[in-house]
Amino acid sequence: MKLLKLSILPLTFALSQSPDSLYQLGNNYYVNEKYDQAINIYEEISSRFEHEDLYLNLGNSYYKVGALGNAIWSYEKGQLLSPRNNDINYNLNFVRNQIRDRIIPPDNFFLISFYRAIIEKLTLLDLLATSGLIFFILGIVFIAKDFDFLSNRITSLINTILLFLIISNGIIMLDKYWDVFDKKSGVVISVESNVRSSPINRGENIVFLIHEGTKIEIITEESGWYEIVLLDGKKGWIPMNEVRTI
Amino acid sequence: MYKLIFILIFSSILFAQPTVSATVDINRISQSETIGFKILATNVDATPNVDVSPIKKNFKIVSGPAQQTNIQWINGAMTSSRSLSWTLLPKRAGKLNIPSLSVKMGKNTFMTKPIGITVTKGAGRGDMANLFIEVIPDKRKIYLGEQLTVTYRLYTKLNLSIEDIEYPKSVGFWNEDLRGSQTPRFKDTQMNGVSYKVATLYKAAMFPTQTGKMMIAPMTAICNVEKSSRRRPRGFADPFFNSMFRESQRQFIQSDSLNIDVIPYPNTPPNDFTGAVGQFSIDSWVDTNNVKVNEAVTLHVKISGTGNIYNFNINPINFPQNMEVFPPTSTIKRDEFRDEITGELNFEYILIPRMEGQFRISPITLTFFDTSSDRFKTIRSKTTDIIVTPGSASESIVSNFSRENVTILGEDIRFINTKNPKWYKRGNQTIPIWVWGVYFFSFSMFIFPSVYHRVKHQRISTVDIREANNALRLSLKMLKQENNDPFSFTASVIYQYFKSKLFLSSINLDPMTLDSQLKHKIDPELISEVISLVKLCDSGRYGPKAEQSMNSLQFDASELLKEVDKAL
Repeated sequence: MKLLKLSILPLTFALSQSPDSLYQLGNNYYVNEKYDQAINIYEEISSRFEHEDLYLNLGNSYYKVGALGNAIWSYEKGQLLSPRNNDINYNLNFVRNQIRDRIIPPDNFFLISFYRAIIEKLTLLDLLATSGLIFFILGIVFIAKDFDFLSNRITSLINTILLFLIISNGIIMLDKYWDVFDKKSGVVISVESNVRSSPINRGENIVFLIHEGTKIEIITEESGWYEIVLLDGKKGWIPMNEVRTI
Repeated sequence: MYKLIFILIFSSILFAQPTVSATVDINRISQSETIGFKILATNVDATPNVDVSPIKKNFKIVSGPAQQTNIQWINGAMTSSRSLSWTLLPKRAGKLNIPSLSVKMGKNTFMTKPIGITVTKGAGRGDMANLFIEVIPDKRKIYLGEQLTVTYRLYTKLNLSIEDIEYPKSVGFWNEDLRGSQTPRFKDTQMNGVSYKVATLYKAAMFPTQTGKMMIAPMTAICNVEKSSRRRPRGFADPFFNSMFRESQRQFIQSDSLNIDVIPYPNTPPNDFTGAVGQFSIDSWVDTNNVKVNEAVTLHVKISGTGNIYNFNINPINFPQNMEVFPPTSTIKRDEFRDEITGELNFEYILIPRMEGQFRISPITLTFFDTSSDRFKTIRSKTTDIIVTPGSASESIVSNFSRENVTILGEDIRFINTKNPKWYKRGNQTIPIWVWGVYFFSFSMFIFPSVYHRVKHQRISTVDIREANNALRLSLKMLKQENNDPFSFTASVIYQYFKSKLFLSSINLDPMTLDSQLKHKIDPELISEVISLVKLCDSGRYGPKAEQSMNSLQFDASELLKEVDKAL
C-alpha cells in the first residue's frame, strides 16, 4: 500500500510537469537523502526521455538504497548513451566491485580484446561522424587534385588510404550496430537467483546460482523465462522478473 | 546342618516381603525450620534408588541423602532395613505436599505415600522476630546501567555463628561486591522498639544489563544458633562450663526476593553512546609533546567518575595518518571505600609517528547518561598536539623531499549531475544535424569541380545568348518608334534581330544570305514573307507602292518578327 502511494504520487506530478522540473525535483530528493522518492521521479522521466546524466543519478539513488542490481542496470544504460562519461564509468566500476559473483571471461587473442575495448568506448554516432570526416578529407583531396595542387602519385596514395579507412570504419560500424541492436543483455536484480537447466521451476534442475548485479546476455525468451549466458559461457534459464534488460 | 541353617535364613529373607515407607519427623513447621525426611526400606539387600526431583518444587534440599543400614536378628529371623534421609527447607508457606516418590530396588519399583506438611508463615519478621535477613535496595526503579545498591542485613536476638552464605543470584545484572568478604560484625540496634543485634551480611552494587521487570533471587544463610541449654547446671553455675555444654542448632534463613523495575532511557541515545551511565569526566594527555620520528609517545585517556565503569568502552579515536597505533591497554582503579562504584578507567595508547610534522589528536568524546539530570551528556577532552621532529639523518632526507599522496579516507560513488540535460526523446534518438552537414558538405565537394568547370566554360557565350534572348523585345521596342525613314530603319532593325538571334558575325546582310541562313530553321512560307518584306524595304522607298505601305510597314515588320521568333 505504501509502495502504491509512492508510485502514484510522482505519476500525477509527471503528467503536468516538464522533464526539467521533474529532474530538479528528483535531484532535490536525492540531496535530501530521500532516495526512494528520487528513484520514482527519475524512473518516471526515463519512461519518456533519456540522458546519460539521468541514468547516472538514477544509478546513484539505487546504490544509496542498496539495490546494486538496479544501480548497475542504470549505469549500463547511461554507458550505452555515453561510453566515455567519466562519472558513470567510475561509479559503475565502484559498484561492480561490490557484487558477489566474480566471472572471469575466457582469454581472447589480445588484438580482439583490444578491439573490443575500443569498440566499447565508441558510439554509433562517433563512427558515423568519423566516416563523414574521412569523406570530407577525400573531398578536399579531390578538389586539390582538380586544381593541380597535388601530384597524381600523392593523390592516389592518399585516396587508397582513405578508402581503406572508410571501408574498415564501415565494417566496425556494422559490428557495433549488431552489438547494440541484436544483442540483448540484462542485469540480475534479485539478491540471489537460481539458474535452471530448463524453463521449469523444479527443485532438481538448478544449475548454478548468480547474485545481484551480475551482467548476463539473453539469448532467447520463453513465457516468463530468459535463456541466459554468462561471460564465461555458462548457460541456463532464469525467471524474467529477476532480470532487468538493458 | 549348615545347609539347613543357610536355607532357613535365606528362606526367611526370601519370604519376607520388601516394604518401603516414607516418614517425616515433623509436619507442622514454620517457614525457616527444616524437616527431616526419611525413606525406609525393609527386607532389601540393595540400596534403594530414589528420584527426588518432585520434591524440589516446594522444598529446598539442604542436605542429604544420608544412608543408614540396620540388620536385626530376632528369634533367628533377620530383618534388615536401609534408610535414606534428607533435610528439607520449605520454599514457601502454606499446605505443602511431599509428593509420592518412586523408589527403585533392583527390578522392583515402589511408590511412597504422599505426606502433607503445613508450613506456617512464621518466618515473617514480625512473628518470628528472632532471626531474619532484611534486604534493602536503594531504589526500586532504575535506568539501564544505573547502579543499584542492595544491602542484606541479618537481624538476630540469639547468639549465632554463620556457617555458610549463599549469595543471591541475579540474571541480567552485573554484580560488584561492596566490602562483602569480611566476617560480619554484630552491632546493637533497635527495630520497632525491640533490640536486635544486626550485621551486614552482604552488600552489592548491581548494574542492570537489560530492561524489564527483573528479579533478584533471595539470599540464604545457614547459621548455627545457640540454644539455651535444657539441662540445668548440676551443682555449680559456671559460665565457662556452661558454654562447653551449650547446644547449637542449624537454622536456615532466607531473605525475600527483590523485584526491580529496569526502565529504558527517556530519550533515544545518541549514536556514540556506548553504555556509560553515571557521572564522568574525561581527560587525555601525552607524556611528551615533542618526539622524534619513529619514537614512541604514550597517549593517556582517563575517564573518572561514578557509574558503571566496568560496562562500557570509549569510542574509537581518530588518530592522524602516518602514526602507528598499538592496541590500548586499559586499567580500572576502583575506590574501595565508597558504596557507589567510583573509579578511574585508564587507557594507554602507544603511538609511533612515522612522519615529521605537527599532528593533532582530535578531542576524545564520551557520551553518558547523567543519572542526576536524566539526560545524555557528551564530554570531550582537550585536543592534543604532537610535534614530531626529524629523527636520524637518513630518514629525514626521505621525508623532507617526499610529497604526500592524497590520502584516501573512504570511497564512495561520485555525486549526481544536477544541471538540466538536453533530453533525448525515448526511442527516437536522431542523428544530429552536424553529422548530416559533414556528409552533405563532403559530397558537395565532389560535385564542386565539375560544376565549376561548366560554369567557367559557359561564361564566354553568355553575352550572345543574352542578346539573342533580348533580340525580339529590343526589335519590337524600336519598331514602335516614329522615324523619318521607315524603310531603311525597319530593314536595319530586322537585320539586327537576325544577327543577334542567329549568332551572325556581321550586321551587313542581304536577302540572299538571310534566306540561306533561315533555310531549314523555319518553314519556307515564312521565309518568303521575310524576304519579301526585306526586299520591299530595300527597294520600296523608290517603288510605286512605297506611299501606301509606308504607314503599315513598321507594324507589319513587328508582327512578322513575332511569328519568326515563335518559329525559331
